[in-house]
Amino acid sequence: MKKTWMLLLSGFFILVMLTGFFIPDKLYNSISITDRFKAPSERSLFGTDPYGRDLFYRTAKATSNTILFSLIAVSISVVVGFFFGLLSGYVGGFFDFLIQTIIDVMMSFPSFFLVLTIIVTMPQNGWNVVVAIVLSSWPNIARLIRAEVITLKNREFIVASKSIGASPLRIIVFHLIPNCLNTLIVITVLSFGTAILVESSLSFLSLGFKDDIPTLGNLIALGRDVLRSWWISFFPGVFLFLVIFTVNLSGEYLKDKLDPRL
Amino acid sequence: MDSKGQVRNYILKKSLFIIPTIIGITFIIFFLINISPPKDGAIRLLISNKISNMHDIIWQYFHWLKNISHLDFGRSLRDGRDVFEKITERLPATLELNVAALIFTIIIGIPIGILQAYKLNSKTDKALTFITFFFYSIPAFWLGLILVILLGVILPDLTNGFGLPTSGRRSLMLILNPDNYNSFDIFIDRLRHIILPAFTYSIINIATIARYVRSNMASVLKEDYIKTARSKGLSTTKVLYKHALRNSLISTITFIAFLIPNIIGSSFIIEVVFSWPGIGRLGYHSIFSRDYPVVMAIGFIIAILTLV
Repeated sequence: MKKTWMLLLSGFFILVMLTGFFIPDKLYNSISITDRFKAPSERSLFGTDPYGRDLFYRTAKATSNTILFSLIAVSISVVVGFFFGLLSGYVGGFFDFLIQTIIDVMMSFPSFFLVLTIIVTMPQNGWNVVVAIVLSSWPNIARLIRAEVITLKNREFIVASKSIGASPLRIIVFHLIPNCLNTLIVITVLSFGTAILVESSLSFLSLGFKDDIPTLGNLIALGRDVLRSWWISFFPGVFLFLVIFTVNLSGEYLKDKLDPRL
Repeated sequence: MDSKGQVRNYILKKSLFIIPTIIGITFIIFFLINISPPKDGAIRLLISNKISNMHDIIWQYFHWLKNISHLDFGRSLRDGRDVFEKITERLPATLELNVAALIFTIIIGIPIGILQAYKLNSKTDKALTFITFFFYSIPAFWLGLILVILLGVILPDLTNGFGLPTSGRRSLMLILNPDNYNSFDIFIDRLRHIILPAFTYSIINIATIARYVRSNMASVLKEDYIKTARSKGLSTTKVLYKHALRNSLISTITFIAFLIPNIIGSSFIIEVVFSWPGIGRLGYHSIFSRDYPVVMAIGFIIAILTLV
């Protein structure tokens, strides 16, 4: 049952994300004075926002954007985290100590504050959110991969291939990486959920993407000052919740299947 | 080596390791803030007068380190007040919110976990797992907003003004003429203000704790001494609370201790949503007004709290 729900929901959101690219600008960004604060009706399913823009198309576009930006951020941080985790676990010694200290420093910041500090220091064009997510999530990925590599490194098959003269590169590419892959997939999905949450929180606090690039966070934020028009924050929020729910559900499922220890 | 010496060595090693971490933290905070582009003309002038080249920045860094070692974080750029004073007057509000949220988490989360462990793999267990997972996925700021709309706008409309306050820590009436109210009124007022933020704040952690208690209790319930206790003829409640809970509580407390930094860190957004006058909101406004000394001080204090 869990599996069917997971597949249905993820299929739905992949579809939403893909259709988001094809929604014309006119549908979700056209302002109309006479249509401000319209409650949900058959003309606009989710109502309209304070600028008279149609919330149905805006939510669809925003869902697509949120998923896309979080996906970009997570992909980069997985590559970075995997690289450093692998090297620091395999090489060991001083390099390992250095990377570990950096990771410790990064992780002792409350992740949200680290993100905010990065946000302040960068030009506020929205992509700072992506950088912030990458910087705050790679340490965790690197740490878990390192632990995995260290246990693998002393296993017999690695020692055996080393003793028959396999080069380090060969060991890493043909033995370590395939064996880390399960862990990596699970971590990726789990940090994807966090990335979506961080992205939308920052957009909500108007620190991330601005209004011209709708994301679920800044749609919800628009309803903050006009509480009586509940639909403005309600529908984007439901979508945000569903996206996170789907990702978490998939994460749980994959964790049970691939890597129950994590 | 005896075990006492080992423990001492371990603690020594750990506390030695804190030093490079602290240096790293101060380094990151200082340099991130100091290379950031000041938009405001006045601030740019102020900073460019002081920092002309890299040499000066490094000199300033050591100067700043020396100052914060005796808790001198400088003055706020916005109102010229002492930064440490500004933070300490906001600290009680943040602590109050955190403690309330923690209490909520514990009194809701642990019983759910116990119930689940007791009825392991039953329908109740599965339903509760689903519900906690459901709440775990709700973005806290959105839940806060929806609760504000429901209890602060719609409910008072329906019931003629009965609802929960949705912002701040105290009512304006109680600040303006405190003589008209006794301490009980004040207490009730505070309580009414804290319910919404604390509840919203704890919702994610309830799921985490319930899940942990569930798996932990389930393994404790399989132990032999539980069987012995049961075969002695003790009642279920007694077995659950006296034997099982006490034994699983130790690791649960450790787990909660690990959660605390996480909780402190995420207080930012809740404080902003509910206009709670704590450190998080101060930091948020300081970021917008580019009040660098305050941002640096808050970053430092929160990072140290996390470390300890």
